[in-house]
Amino acid sequence: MSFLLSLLRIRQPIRRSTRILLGLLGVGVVVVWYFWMAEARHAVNPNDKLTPTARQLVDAVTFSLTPDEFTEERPFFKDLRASLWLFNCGLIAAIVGSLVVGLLAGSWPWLNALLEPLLKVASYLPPVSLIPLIFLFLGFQDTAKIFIIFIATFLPLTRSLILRVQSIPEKLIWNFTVLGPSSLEMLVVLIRRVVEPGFLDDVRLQIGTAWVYLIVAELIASEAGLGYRINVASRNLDVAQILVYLAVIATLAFIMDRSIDYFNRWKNRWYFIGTES
Amino acid sequence: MTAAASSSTPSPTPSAVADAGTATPGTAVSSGEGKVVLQLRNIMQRLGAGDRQKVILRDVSLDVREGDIVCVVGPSGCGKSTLLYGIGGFRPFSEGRVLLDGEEITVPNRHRGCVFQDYTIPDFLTAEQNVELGMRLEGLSLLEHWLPFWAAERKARYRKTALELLEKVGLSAHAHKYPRELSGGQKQRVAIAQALAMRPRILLMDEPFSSLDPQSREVLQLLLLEIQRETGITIFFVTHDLEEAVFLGTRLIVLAPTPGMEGASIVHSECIARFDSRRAKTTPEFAATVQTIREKGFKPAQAAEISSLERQLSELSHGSPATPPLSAPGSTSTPTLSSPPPSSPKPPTT
Repeated sequence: MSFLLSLLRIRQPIRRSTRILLGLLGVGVVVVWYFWMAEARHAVNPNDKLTPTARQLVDAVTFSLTPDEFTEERPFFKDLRASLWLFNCGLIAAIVGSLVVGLLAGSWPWLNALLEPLLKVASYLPPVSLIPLIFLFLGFQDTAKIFIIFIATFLPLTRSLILRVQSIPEKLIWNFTVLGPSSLEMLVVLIRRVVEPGFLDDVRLQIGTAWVYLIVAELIASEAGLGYRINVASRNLDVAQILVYLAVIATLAFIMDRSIDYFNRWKNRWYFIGTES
Repeated sequence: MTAAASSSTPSPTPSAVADAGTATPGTAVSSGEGKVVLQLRNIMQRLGAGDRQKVILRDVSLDVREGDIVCVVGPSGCGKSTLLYGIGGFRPFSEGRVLLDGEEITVPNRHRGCVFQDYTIPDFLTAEQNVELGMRLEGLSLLEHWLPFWAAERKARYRKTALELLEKVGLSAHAHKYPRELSGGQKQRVAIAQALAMRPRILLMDEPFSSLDPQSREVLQLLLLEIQRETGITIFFVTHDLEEAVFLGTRLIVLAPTPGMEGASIVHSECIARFDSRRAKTTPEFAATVQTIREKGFKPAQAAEISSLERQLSELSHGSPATPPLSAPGSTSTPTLSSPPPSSPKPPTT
């Protein structure tokens, strides 16, 4: 009974092993439920297309890893390479851009006054609505797709960073000033260090957005990529292929998220003191 | 311990400088000896604009001499911290001049070290790195700061100085710790060491010990006195705690609003004898000094109100003979709460 009551206590800490077990349990329940449902549906209708069985999923994986008879390239690795190239270019450009604009606009009120209306208006426009314009201006090549990912992630990262810089306590800035740094040193050595852990958390939150817009861009105009393959599979009603590629995207996003988190905890150990569980 | 004395030593500076005692707003107050490090002349500070403009400081002038610990006290919200922020160059004064070693200053710089009540040191550096920070910013370029093997000799020198300062403030065992691993008192020690590393002409301290527990506060007060004796540094210390000011200061300044005028000015200034140990706080001389400054420096009405409230509190705690007894069962007379006891004194109106 006391164990059940402890579950209701807010912020009751749990062990790391318990956290991992619960995480696996959550995913495991969904996976087991799906396969049980798929088998049940196939028992009623063997030609069911909507819920592929485990066997069909394995076949889809095998197909993706089988070299193409003309190019001798495995479709999965070709798609993965194409998508990762676009994803990384777009997100890294957004990170670098938002760091520069965010630090500068957050530190200098006059620059913030100049840029804030533009950033606000741009962020209110759904990036999806800008896609046709982007393709019109930049064509259907990689540049346009990279720009779509960039614009979708740059704006929220920048606005968030500006707020983080502006939230630095005034007395901390005064303390920095007394030590006599130049403006560049103040920005790069001091202010950047204060906002870095929060900024990296923001980047983690934008990973999902970046993947969404990558897939959207590839659905519209592409010859390779995870989104492209999903598009082709959907036209062929190949749900197994779609599910396999979705699992790949989810796995990649998870790995990226964890990597950034571990990097943050290693580089900014000071920020996480007292929060480790 | 000698009793505190009002200094009437004439200052060598021009007639604008007044002797100690009850100060007239606009005239500079000063202690007797030593070179003048900091001068404030006719400081006015206003906040807001138009109809909402408010005068915070009015005609404040003072000299701070080398080696002095000048403590500024006053009622909450009177402008003590505003005065310090202006001296530091963080919020420039609306009128008046601030001179450091004879040169006018308007922006923060290394010559005025600062220790605030909170947000004193950045969290992303260890105690040692925090103390080193100012030296590295002063002595290294950005590239040298980042590249690990450049300017190794200078970096080693800064590290050595930082460790020596941490030892001076009693934190050498905690040099590798981040501020989040330190207590409030330890963080303030790091802040003091960081400020001292810059070899400032004057150390500005804005209620640095206010958020600490009494024991930590006492320890840090003694530490500050010890550091001041060793280094001879000039300190400008703002506090709302009169006892702390009397214990630490060699000159005490009371900042308060003057009747009939908007804004605070110096209403009292006094030289204080040095108190060297905790036990000094229990001596009659110490209590007498505190009481004298409270009566002279704060508004007489305010002082009277405090005395009256203290008297009433004492009566409530110990029971006053004039207080009517509670009615016994069956008694016809019923005392009411709305009518005060006949012998209790009326508090003075302000």
